[in-house]
Amino acid sequence: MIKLHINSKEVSVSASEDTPLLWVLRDILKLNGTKFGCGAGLCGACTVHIGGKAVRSCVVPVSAVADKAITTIEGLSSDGPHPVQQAWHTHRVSQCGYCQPGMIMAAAALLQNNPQPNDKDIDEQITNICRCGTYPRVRKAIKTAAKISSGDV
Amino acid sequence: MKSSRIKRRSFLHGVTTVSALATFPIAISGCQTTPTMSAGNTDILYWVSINSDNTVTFKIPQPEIGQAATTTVSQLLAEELEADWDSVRTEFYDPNTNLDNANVYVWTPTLASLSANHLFDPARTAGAQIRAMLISAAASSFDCNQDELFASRNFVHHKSDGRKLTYAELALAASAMQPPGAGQLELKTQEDWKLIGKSIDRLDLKQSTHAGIKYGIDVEVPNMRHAAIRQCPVYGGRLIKVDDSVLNGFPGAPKVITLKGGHAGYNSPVPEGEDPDLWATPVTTSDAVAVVADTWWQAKRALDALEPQWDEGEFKHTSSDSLRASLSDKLTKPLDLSISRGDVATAKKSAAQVHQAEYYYPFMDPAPLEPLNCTAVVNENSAEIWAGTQYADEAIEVASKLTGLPRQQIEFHIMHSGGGFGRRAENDFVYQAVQIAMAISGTPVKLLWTREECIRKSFCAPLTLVKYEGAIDAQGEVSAWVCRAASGQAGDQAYGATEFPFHFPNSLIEYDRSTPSPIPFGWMRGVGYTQHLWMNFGFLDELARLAGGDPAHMYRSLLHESKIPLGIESREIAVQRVNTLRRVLDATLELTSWDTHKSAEKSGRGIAVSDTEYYPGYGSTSAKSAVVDVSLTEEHGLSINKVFIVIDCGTVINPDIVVNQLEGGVAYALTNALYSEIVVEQGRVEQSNFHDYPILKAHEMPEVQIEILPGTGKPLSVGEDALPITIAALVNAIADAGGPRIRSLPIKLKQA
Ligand code: FES
Ligand code: FES
Repeated sequence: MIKLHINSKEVSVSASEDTPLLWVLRDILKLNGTKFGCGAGLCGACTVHIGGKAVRSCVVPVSAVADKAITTIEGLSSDGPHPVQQAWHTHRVSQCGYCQPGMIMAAAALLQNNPQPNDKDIDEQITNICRCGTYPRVRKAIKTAAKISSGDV
Repeated sequence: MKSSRIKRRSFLHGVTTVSALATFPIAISGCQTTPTMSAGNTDILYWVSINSDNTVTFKIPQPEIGQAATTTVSQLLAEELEADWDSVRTEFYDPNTNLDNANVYVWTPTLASLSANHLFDPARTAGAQIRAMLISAAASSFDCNQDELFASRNFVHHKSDGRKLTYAELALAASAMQPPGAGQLELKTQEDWKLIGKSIDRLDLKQSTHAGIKYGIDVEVPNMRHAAIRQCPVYGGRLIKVDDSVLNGFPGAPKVITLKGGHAGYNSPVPEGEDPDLWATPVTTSDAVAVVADTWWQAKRALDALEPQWDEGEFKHTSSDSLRASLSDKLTKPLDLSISRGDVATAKKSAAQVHQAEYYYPFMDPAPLEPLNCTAVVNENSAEIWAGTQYADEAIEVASKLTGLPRQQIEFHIMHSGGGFGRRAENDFVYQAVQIAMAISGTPVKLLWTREECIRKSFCAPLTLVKYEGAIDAQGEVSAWVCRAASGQAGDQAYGATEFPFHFPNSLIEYDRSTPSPIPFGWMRGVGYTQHLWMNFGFLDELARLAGGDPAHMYRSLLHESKIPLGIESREIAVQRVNTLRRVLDATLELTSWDTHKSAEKSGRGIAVSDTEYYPGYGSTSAKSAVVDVSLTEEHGLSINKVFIVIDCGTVINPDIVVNQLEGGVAYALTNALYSEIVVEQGRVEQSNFHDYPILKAHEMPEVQIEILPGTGKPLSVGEDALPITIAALVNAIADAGGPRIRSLPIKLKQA
């Protein structure tokens, strides 16, 4: 049994140590909001927060995160929508929606560490793939989310 | 004009016939409909369920892959039903209901960007019919005339005495009313629209920000097991053997199941009585090995440990290069389809300049982000399937054939798809999941492909080689145009060459798609226009530059009635077409200040304008143009600075959704142009994941400016429409900036 701290709760799972966190979340804990796109750390669909940082859960063995605080899209905000989710709504970012949980988690981590990111910061930090091409709206929404967080809107 | 058309069909001719099967308004033959009720909810005319809490559930007649049909079709239905938008719920249609009722949903596959066009009248008509039935039920309840009543926001009101009834109260009686026929229905006119034409939020917007959308990959069924799959790496290969004893002691109780390759239906509709192999493309799968285990990770680990032996079959020595060589050889002889006009040879003799070039398009995988998956359980007398597919009507037929169960004993749940772009038009993954479920009868199983499997075993846009020849006369006009195109075995995409909207006094257009291909064909976003339009515009741009003129003005002068040869078939349609395109081009020149714009050094601008008509008079595609601004720098290679799109897409149901689709289309086009290439070597795909089959990322996305021109009539295509024009404008912008002439995709320049 491996003990995990997920979305402020403690859970125990039985899985082999090399199982990627993504599959523990999805198949064992049924937290299906975290998506599978490539399984190789290349697309960001599986992004979660570990210790406040955006991490691609498909390439993290579950044994490596046993004592760390993990947040998934389901636990992003406990009191109404997170500023990033609000901004995503305002800019109507989504198309198929599949990349969006990972994209939102990546954006939320970016803002947590850099509350006023400029275009260059966004370019460098938001490397998730959106096959539907929602990038122009992602950029606008991150800027709006920064304003919401700082009380500017 | 001489033309020989051997097996020349357009799949969309077929589609039109299929859709015509549905009769609108919906007529219920015989006496009354049998109301279907569940938990106090009443289904009316298949399209709508009125719920006991006075909300409404719309049956969305198409799978959702991100194109937003869930929202746009709901706008159409709600508009005429006078439904309260906040009360609208949706669910996907049931393929059996459609197949058992003469295609009552009219256009169910998510294909060819047709949802808005094909469903515009049917959805509004269904809404109006159901509203009329509710009103007539209220009239009998109030014992008054129908014209004393009106419907608004899920109530029927009496105009003068204040009485009202909810739709829920009326639903059961309404469902037993005879639906009004064509003559008795009057649809609202544009001035009265409250929902159509408004940028209403997508119905799944909130869910999209909270991971609330349930995709196929998210299906959970009690006692479900998980399957991973590996197919013969060479298309059409057979399994010789696989030793499962190596899995002893592996966790998750892995079980090996071998799958026979076979025929998993077709990838687009075929009209009744027609030969499907001429109208659509058969979907054939290779033999495969699957492992079923308690979790997917266990199944995958076990699968990785297997060493199946394959008979790799006829394509084991084929490569992209050898296919290209075969096509090149093919192009030395006259081709299957040949359309000639005037006298090219004489025009060449008297030409001031003659120019030749060869253009190339590689295999491409549509690569939706959600990997292919399907959940199935097959019992002795029933089956249940959950899948994100673009073509559910075919998927259920495929399952019925495989299991031997009548369709009606199979329950099919359409799930949201994390993208499709054509790849989910093939139901190969459904075929495999059902095979696996049959092998473990009674146990539900979710089959999920790895990304590697998705890239290696895709149904690709066809590898295509085109030879061009052009003549320019002493006045600098194009006097001859020769375009001879050959691709590996594919669906009919001849229109990419034949329907280029420009006419030249002398021309020869040829097309062939008969050369065996090591990768099976699939429709990919923008289909034949994505392969051919940039080539056509590229070569025309080459000619314009040789003639020394401004390409945009050359296009403008060619888009003129006087350039359309007298005596061609459907000349009127051709005239209308050039007039529309000229109008869009003019709007584009104005928007982009084309005539006064000066590009900086090492910078350039390209332009393209087209519709995406499959044959003269097809009439459901929009007219659109793109202008792309680029610069070339030592440091970065190519930077794409800005993309303008101008579109006339007829009546617009939801402007913001049009904009979102076009922005996304630009991103998709740039991925095609800059990155996408599936290379076959020794019958195998060399690429495997997003490191060697990259997708455009946020930092590479240029600014996009979109102008929607005021349009009338039925809505026209949008979903695929940014692709062909963006690629075409891009390659010409690179030439304009002094960069190389791009004749082969992907563009091999350093990217900013
Ligand atoms: S699924 Fe983890 S990065 Fe793609
Ligand atoms: S919205 Fe479809 S992949 Fe991003």
